[in-house]
Amino acid sequence: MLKIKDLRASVEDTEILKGVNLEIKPGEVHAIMGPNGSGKSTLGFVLAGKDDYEVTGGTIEFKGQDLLELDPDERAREGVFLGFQYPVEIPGVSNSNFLKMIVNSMRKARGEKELDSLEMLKLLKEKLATLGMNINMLKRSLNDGFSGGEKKRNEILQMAVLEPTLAILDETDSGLDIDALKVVADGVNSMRSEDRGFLIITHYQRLLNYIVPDVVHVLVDGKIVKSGDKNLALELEDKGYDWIKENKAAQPA
Amino acid sequence: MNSSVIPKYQTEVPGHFRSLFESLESRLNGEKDLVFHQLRKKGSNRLLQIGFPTTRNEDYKYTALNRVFNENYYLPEQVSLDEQDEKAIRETAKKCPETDYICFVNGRYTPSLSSISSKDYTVLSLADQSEESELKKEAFQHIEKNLDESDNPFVQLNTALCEDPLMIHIKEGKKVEKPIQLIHYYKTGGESVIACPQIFVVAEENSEVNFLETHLTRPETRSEKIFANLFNRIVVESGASVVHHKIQDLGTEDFIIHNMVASQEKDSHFYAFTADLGSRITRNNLEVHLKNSFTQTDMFGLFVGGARQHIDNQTYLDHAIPNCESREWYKGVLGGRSRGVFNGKVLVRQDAQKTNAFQQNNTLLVSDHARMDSKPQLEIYADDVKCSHGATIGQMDSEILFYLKSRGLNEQQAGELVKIAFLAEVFESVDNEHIRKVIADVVVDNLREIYE
Repeated sequence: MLKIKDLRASVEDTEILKGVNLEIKPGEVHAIMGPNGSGKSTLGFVLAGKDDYEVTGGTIEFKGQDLLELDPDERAREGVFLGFQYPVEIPGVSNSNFLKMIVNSMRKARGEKELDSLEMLKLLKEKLATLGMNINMLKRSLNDGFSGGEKKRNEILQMAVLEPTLAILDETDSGLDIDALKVVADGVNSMRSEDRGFLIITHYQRLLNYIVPDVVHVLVDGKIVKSGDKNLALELEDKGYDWIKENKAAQPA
Repeated sequence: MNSSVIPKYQTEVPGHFRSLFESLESRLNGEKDLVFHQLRKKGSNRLLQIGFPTTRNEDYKYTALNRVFNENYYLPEQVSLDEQDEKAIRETAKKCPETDYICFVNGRYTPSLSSISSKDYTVLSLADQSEESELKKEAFQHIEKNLDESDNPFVQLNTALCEDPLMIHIKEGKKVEKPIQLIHYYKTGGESVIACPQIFVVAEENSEVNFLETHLTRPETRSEKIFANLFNRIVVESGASVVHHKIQDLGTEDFIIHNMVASQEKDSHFYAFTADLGSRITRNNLEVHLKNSFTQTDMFGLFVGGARQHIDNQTYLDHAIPNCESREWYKGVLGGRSRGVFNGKVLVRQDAQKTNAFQQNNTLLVSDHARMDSKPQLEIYADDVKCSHGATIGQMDSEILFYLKSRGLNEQQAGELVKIAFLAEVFESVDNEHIRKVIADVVVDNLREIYE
């Protein structure tokens, strides 16, 4: 459902992605690992359509259409979801109103009937229960004063209500204690299905103990240098990123 | 009191303003000797002495009123209202359910279009002197004192041209259950209209009252302008609470100068909320005087400007007494080529120990050509106080917009949400649910209309 070919992207004239190739099929969970500054988050933002990034080459095909032609909101309505590493805080917008707004605008865009207050409350309660989250979270302002863990859980909640086709989670594990990590992982696992794909961006292997990936890619300096199964993550944890870099350097050009 | 004054402003009051007073006087016939007419005369004379301000005057530095002064207005006599006018008034009244309402047509109190059910307060027309009363006498003394003490030319102009000042008297210890709507209806007849309603509120000891003041015009499409020059005088006696909200959404070529002076006695609460959304030029002059300790004063405002609108909020709060608390928060969103001004002065005098004063102004500029001049002024002469003030002027945060769009909201929805969220803290200060909804609806409509 997602085909990335030779993707190149720059920010302020500095090339960050230098020819990324990646294909995710429905039902698959892919993990992208890599050292700081390798371009992991850039890949997430480019997929979501952030305009600070200029795509200078390559193609992204999503469900058969050219993703690069679409605005961020159109991509979202087509089923792309980006879980932010640093979700923004918006004081003055209640979390429940925001969730209602995004669910109904999504349903409207998909030609489905909008939910009334009761149906919405039922949906939210159900999702909260699945994620082991407290209903009080709905009353607060969107991410305002949330702890790091609460923000990440809130991202997962948004993902759960939007039911995307492709969920990209950008370092959703960073800053989480082990309990919060389990909640996030359970949330993701509960949503795994044969028509949904995941791209899990992470620096550490830890999260992949809980969300077991089908494919692991290693991104170094804007390129995927190695792909493998879940054991690649363990190997990386063991040997560090330098091992890959050295390997890469040793490879014949 | 000596009423001779040195002119405060150098611009002479133009002849067409002076002739407005003459035309009012000429149609009064036998009423010229009545008490209130003497006050009108006094207002007119004081106005000529004080003069009109220009941008050379510090307190009008950012607000040129030439457009307002150059227009020719007429002061309509009682206009006849048709069915549609009355329907429009009733529909406006109904927007906020379970209220009493008092209607003013072109500034004149109109009992036939008002609905007063509560016995906890009295409404008195002060121009009607068929009955003598202590209350009226008291009101006249107050009005005279206002005229003597005020160097605000628009308070003088208001009194000079006010046909029928209205006194709203809240009886001692009475908590008026339903909010009271003050609905200003303007009807122009092919010429620009000036309207000068004066509302004099006295909340006796331990009474409580809640107002919603709104403006309504018909027809919506017209070339003639409305100049509303209002004066609210509010006296809050010991232990009393007066909550006043106003929504101003006049036409984009109209003018409004809203003058409000409140005084507070011991343990009293005064809350003022203003939402300024319409009109070409808006100037709010809000003054609060604290007469005794343990008072609470709240001044909240929000403004939304587009096109070439100009919205100027001037507030003055005099902490002369110890142990008083004040909160002031004005927030606005400006688009198009609109311009906003905030000048909030809080004075904490040497004796005003244990004062707790908070003041804040934040503006969101959503176009390259919108402009805001903000001057939060806090002057403190006491040493044992807790005071803070600040101002920010910012633009739409692209990170927030991207976040919202990545959740499927389109450009317009995301922008609206950011603007509404920006104004939220001021909204949330409105306690009454119905009133908050009325305000929210009109604000959201206006946010949709402004261009970035």
